[in-house]
Amino acid sequence: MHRALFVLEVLLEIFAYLCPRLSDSSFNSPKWLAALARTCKTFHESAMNLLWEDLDGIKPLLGCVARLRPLIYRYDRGVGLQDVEPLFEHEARQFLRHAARVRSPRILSDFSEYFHLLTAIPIETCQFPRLLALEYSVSGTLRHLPFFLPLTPRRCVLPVIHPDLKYCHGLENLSLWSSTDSADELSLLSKTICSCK
Amino acid sequence: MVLLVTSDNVQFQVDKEVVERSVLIKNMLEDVGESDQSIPLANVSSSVLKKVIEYCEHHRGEPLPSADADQNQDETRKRTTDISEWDQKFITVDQEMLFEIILAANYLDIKSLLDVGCKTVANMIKGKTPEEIRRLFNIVNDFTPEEEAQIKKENEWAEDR
Repeated sequence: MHRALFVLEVLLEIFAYLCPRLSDSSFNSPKWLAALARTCKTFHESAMNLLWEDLDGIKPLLGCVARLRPLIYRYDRGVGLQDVEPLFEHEARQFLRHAARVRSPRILSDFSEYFHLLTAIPIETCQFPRLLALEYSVSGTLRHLPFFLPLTPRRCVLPVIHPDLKYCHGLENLSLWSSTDSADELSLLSKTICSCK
Repeated sequence: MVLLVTSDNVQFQVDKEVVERSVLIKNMLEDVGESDQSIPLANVSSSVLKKVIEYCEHHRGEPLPSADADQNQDETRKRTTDISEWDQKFITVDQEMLFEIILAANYLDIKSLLDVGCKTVANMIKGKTPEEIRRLFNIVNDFTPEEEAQIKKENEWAEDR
């Protein structure tokens, strides 16, 4: 193994060309980063961080928990996630270990069906400490949004304005799906913008 | 002209405009000012520096990326693994030389050359299994079978896409 492959900045530069988010090629497959993560310990962390930074939904995080894996990957078609007990403490740790790698998740509408699984995780825990951008597509309810709102996100796409956004001091770019025209919402929006960069 | 001295003590006289494609050397020359002193490159051998100079000669006069713009765009810029025809031919070297060029580009801070090298390695990795990557780069598998199986399970969502 050439010594160049032990230099972290070189590794990150090479791996970035294989990252679906950073590459302009629509053919980049997450499979290639997954293969690098399994190649050797030197590659593992860098490849895992890039692989997990951009997620469609949080099911892959739940799939890291052995008990849920058959349900997530549909080996066991009989049981839905809504019938399953919440994560135990050691399982929550598995979830959080990978959640710490996530930078830009898209939270999809099925999130409400399995939010109960995460009740073991205290709400004040920063589940996504490296969060950079959040796309929250759960229409109808924002009650789970605080789960994703530490102080870190710079970009948010939300259905409507949420009071907790005023704690996101790093926010630089906020997109809302719906028009905000009530006085309350406009006032809330104003306060949020005042507290942002 | 600037005099460069390699790790194996070979001297290269290079045009200032050419050698200033290296941000490291450019900054050195700016700090030192006009001087006849040679610049020692303890981390670069003569065979590698010869290739680096060939690259810099070919790309002489092209705009250099600004450090600020590069840092700011690094998180968001979309990368392509396309390589121009000349660069492709230039970087068609054996694996040892390829990685030495990458190390030299990283040390000398020649971003465009580092990109060409890293893209080439990325293109070699595409579509390969862990075992094929290990064979390609002579890497020892230091995971236990249990560890490897666990990683595979964790990344199952990515493995079948």
